[in-house]
Amino acid sequence: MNFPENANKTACRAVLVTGLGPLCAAATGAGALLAALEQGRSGITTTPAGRTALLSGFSAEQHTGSDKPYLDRCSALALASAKLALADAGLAAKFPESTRAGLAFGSAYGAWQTMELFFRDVAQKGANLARPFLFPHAYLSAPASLIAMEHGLHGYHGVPASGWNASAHALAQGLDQVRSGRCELFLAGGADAGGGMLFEALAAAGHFEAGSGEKSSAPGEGAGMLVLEEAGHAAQRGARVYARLAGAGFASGEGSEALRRALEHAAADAGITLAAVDGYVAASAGGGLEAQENEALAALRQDASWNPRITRVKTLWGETFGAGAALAASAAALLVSGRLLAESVTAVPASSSPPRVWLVGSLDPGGAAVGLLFTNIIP
Amino acid sequence: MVITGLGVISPLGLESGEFWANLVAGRSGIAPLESLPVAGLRYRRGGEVRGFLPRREWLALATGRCSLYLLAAGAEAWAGSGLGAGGERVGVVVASNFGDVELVEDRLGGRETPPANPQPTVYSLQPIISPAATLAGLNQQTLADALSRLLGARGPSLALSLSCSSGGAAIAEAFDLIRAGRADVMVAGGADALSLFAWSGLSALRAMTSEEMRPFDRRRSGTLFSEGAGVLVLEDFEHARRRGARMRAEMLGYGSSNNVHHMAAPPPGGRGLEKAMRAALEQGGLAPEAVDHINAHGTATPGNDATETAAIKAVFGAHARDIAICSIKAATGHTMGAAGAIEAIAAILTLEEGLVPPTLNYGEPDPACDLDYTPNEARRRTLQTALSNSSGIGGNNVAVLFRRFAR
Repeated sequence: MNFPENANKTACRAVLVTGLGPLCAAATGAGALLAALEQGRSGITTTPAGRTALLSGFSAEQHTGSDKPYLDRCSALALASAKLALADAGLAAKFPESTRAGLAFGSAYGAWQTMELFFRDVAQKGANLARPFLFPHAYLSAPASLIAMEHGLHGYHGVPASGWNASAHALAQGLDQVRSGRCELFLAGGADAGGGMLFEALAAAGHFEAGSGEKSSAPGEGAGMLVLEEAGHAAQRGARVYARLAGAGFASGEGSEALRRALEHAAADAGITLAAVDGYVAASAGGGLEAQENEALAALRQDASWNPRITRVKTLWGETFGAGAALAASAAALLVSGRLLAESVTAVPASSSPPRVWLVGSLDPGGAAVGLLFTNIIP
Repeated sequence: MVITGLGVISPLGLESGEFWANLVAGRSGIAPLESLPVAGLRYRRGGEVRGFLPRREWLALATGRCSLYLLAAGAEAWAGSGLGAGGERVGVVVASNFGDVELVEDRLGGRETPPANPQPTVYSLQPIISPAATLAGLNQQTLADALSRLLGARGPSLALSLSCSSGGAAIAEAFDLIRAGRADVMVAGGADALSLFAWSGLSALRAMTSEEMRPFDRRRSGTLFSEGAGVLVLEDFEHARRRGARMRAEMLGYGSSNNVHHMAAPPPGGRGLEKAMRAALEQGGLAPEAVDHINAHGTATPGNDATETAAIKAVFGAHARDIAICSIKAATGHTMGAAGAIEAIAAILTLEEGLVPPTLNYGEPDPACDLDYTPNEARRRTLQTALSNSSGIGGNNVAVLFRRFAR
């Protein structure tokens, strides 16, 4: 199989995944994620109100290095995940001042809890008595700024807000920045915090049903930051490599048709066809999105003769929105690295050959889609 | 990479021609707010979009005023580009600070009774918009979805949110996506609308002034926020050439950085913005001496204008004094997530017309701001290249670099 280095117009450097910082209801950290996937251990809990996948025992203090007088939950998840990823990559917690280290942090709903808190202040006490320190923490970009400050990331600064595709978008930004040579090290992924007003709004919009059954997706929360590294930089420091992020594809329109094109674009971006892709980490875990995704996969099966092994990892940690694709990408990185055997992952049929190329799908309810291609074929 | 379409809606006008005419004439869109319920608030002047009558097709797609402004500016930019149909090679990337946040205000019960106001602006517009879930107010991808649908764009559909550097970041993202071969055409821009949430928060930060907004002036005491949208059509040069498009400017590159300093205050010396400007020049292959014009972030806060001046001097050295700099925010107000896009459009029009818009309300020089800020009156200059700077809360910086298109 050939991965031409110039499949993409700006492609000239291989982009490797060297650190994972998964944080979700099923796992905290790369090792725990591996175990959860191997054992099929779900973090979804069922209450009379329905199934959810929240991090009930999460405390930011366990993960963040410096004292923070105030943290929105989304920011806390993001900071914790960033720290896990950097530690997993064996990198220092603080980078020297350079524009060669970049960041892309994506979120669908951002710091909505602080937004709610601040606006309740305004509504109840009046604008002049609202707590001013809350407002900068209510921006969707606040978690990214806090990560940059915590770890000294002076370079490229991206904050995708592309709904449920936000962390896929962030990973694609990282791919393009490292591949083009602007950055040699990149922290990319996303986070979303769950509960309260958000879950009520999602339910009202028909995304989740109260008391939903096992076949319906569960709303959750989590974060997934990944360390992306230029191959030469990784080799120089003897970094452990999980996978190569070799392609990204985007499309929009009607969800199923957009996802089909996004996956094809991701493969083309890596210079291969879908026929060379062994496995697929699904974007959905039930509900309307699963129907759209199945339609896309059926079309690809028919038109492109693509019949990959498929895993729906979100059945273990629920729908984590802006973090979803990054958590799925973490699973894909473990799969192509060989650390995780595909047969052990939910719903993946056994095969005699180890899969080497996996696609990750990401689909937003609004109809936009992103595909990411991971492989263990490293030049 | 070329720019083939421009669209603006702002307190200075409802389309780019009106915006530009008012800008170079030295008019200001700042006035006492008429439609935001500001009684009891510390600051009551800002920039409102007035006289805006949205088209029916925009109302069908929008979920609030921010998305309406985006669609209006997007429709103008698209029409100006001469591109008839969207399709799979056309994408959208939009950015906003707050999106249609008034939907969240509804949910939280903060909405006051709209004042009696015959103008379909701000809160009085809301009743004609179909009711939507709170979710749309929390999810800025809905803005990108709406613009993609309006234009029939089926390529990348993406949203960003980088506080007040949002608009510049959207242009930068579009540049990357076309360079990476992910699209031939990207429609990129920023939008924000005044809301009680944003106004209360920005007021709480004490970044606003009760006086005139005076960028780079010794007496400057803060900014005045406003609303609007700016949208650009970026196009692969060969794609534009083949169809005989009107090329408004070349985009040469951009730089992006974070200050790594403080959530709300700029760093002394403007190191973050300096890095962004240097990165833009490096990507564009331009020496500092080749830059003729800078459309500054210029918020008229004591901190920003001094640090931006220091950053410009650090990058350009002695040449900084030869650059025609301006801040258009005293005329437009600070349009938040739209500012970077509207100011990039102003920079492109400046290159096209050879006319630098004025920095209004400038009277007393500040020793910390000792460059040529084009005070009070537009000035004719021969210009080839322009930078547009944007910075935001959280320490984000974006600088975008354009060159006059040589026919």
